[in-house]
Amino acid sequence: MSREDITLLKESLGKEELLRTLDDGEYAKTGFNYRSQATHDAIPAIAQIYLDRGYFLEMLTCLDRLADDEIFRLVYAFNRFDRCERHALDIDLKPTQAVATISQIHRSANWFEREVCEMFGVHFDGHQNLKRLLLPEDTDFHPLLKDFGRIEDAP
Amino acid sequence: MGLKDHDKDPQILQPNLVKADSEQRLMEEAAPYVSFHLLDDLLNRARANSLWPLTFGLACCAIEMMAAGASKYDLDRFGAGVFRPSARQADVMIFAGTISRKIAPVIRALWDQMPSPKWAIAMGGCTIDGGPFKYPNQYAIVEGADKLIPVDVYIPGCPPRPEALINGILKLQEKIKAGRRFEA
Amino acid sequence: MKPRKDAAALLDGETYFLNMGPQHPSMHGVLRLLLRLSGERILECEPVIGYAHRAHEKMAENRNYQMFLPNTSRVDYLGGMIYNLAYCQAIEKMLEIEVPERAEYIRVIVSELNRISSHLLWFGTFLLDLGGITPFLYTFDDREEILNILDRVTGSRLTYSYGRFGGVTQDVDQEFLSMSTAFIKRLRTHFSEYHKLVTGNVIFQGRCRGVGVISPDMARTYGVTGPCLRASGIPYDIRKAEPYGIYDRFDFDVATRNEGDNFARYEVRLDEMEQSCRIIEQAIANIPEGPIMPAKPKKRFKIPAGECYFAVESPRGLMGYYIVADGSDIPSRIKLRTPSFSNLSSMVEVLADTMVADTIAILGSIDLILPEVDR
Repeated sequence: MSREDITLLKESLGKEELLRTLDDGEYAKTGFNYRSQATHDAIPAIAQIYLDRGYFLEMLTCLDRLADDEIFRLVYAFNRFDRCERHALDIDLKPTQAVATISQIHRSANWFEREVCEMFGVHFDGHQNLKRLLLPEDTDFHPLLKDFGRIEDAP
Repeated sequence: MGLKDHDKDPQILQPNLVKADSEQRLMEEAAPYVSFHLLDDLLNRARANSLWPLTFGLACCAIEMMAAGASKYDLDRFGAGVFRPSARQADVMIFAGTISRKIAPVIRALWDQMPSPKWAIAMGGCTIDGGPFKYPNQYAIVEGADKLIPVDVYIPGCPPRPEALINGILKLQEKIKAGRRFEA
Repeated sequence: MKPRKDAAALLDGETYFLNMGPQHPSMHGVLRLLLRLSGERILECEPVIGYAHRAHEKMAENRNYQMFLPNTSRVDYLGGMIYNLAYCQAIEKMLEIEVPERAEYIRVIVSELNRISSHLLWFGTFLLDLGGITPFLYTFDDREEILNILDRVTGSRLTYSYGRFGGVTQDVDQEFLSMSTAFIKRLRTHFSEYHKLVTGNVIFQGRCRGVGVISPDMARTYGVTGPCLRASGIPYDIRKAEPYGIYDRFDFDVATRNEGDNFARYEVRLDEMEQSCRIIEQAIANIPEGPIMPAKPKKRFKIPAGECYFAVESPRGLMGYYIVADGSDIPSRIKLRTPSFSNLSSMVEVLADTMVADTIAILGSIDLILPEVDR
């Protein structure tokens, strides 16, 4: 997305504070052409704009930052097929906060969100099938949380 | 589901699992009322020389198992090249790959579907004791195939070369016949 | 394996459930498909994965950066070299380590050899799934030659830990280069054999043409990448879109087809093998003398706080390492973006209106590695 497109994205979202640029053009260091941060209720609109502009959802993951900042950080990565334009979108969530699903917009998000839900416990509102993906269905823990399964806690 | 007590987890193991020494088990199962020694010998030779493995590759070791069955390291010359997709037609189950918690009940079900006499080969480090995926307090894998079923031959390696798998099959044949394939 | 909770509602006497897997004759691995059928036609398909989940991402948080190297090969064991070197390149990017020229050329040669061996295996097992056993034996013969070459240099046949942060472990000798050249020459003569054996075969054509079509829009919404995407007409190859290493110095084409069916994916992979041969030849012709590790290699790898996303073209598609560092020598998070995960998620739609018999053919043509899906 060029600079004009990013401005268009912010304008079509309506509110300036919904999308905040973190860095722009640091590809050589981070692998992302553009990084931004948004509030959790903006994500479906942002995802729709990215889809309409010809992007695909490359990755969706979560970072457990409960120890440092008491948040979960969802990282969405959008990219294009015709040139390398990898955009990262950070969404910070409080521990019990849920976020809207984008699985109806980007179908790949279906499994990404299921995986984030089972690994971290983040709930995605509106997801039709938020059950376990990689772990057995009756698993009752969320493995990728930092305080789960630590080596020092081994018996 | 606790992390450490998969030994006692009823989901994974059927009760009354006999984790006995395999040789002991073989002798108990084969203990006849009347011993036709020469016939037993003949039947054992027949079984050893035509082991039908079950196609059950789980992870990386499966590729080496396929390579062992392919043209360069032909398993068929030892009679073990007929991979059967159905457990009911197979003699030997070659565990090729890491056993995750999710697939453990499936493995137990397949083992129970195999008719006796049946044998098991644990191929690769993961099936011996968890291999490179074992670390204290891990949640994902079953540390070794012998936590689920009685294993006859263990083949170390990550992954073991096809020659190592062939060596393992020859050892199993020795075990079945209670003798070597070629006189040393 | 418990029955579905909504089973009673769905049992209407017209449709029935078929459980395929996780153990079944086909070669794609421990995948379970819950199929709802009406006769032979699939109405609904639900893949159940996780049977090869080995907790790579959790292990990454338990060990330091060097200790994660063996894991990288085992995520996708057929592209093990590419994954291993990609991880090294991601760390080199974060630490700004410069890799010597000779090491870069060696990396390209072994990566492309790895790509050819992966495609050869795919070729053999795809045909095995369709019922033809002979190509499997032929391609494995060629593949053994590649494994022999890589074994001489790295010490392993399948799961390599050949890369180090800054270069590679062992140098290659003239014998390696001449063996690779001879192998490329031999492989090229075998391509025509494979075409003669397989491509025109009536059964193969019938099972592949027009079957399992992935449209470009579907590919984009599902995040499909790699040969599956290129067979649908979109020429997206990371080696061209965001060149890493020294790939921008090589002259090769991006194999593309437009039909998006099994046959297109088959042709794309055969073309890719030819392109990899071209790259290897150019690399062998231009490889310079020199060291294979930096002059003063670092011993301790503490990466300052930050994050990095590094993408490479694996034989199955776009593979990305997303590494989050926190200043210590243990990663805060490593997320593996694997191509088969997204490629398989598109199967829900592709398989939704096909026949049961086509399922195996379509899944085979996608080229899945389940441990890569499950990590």
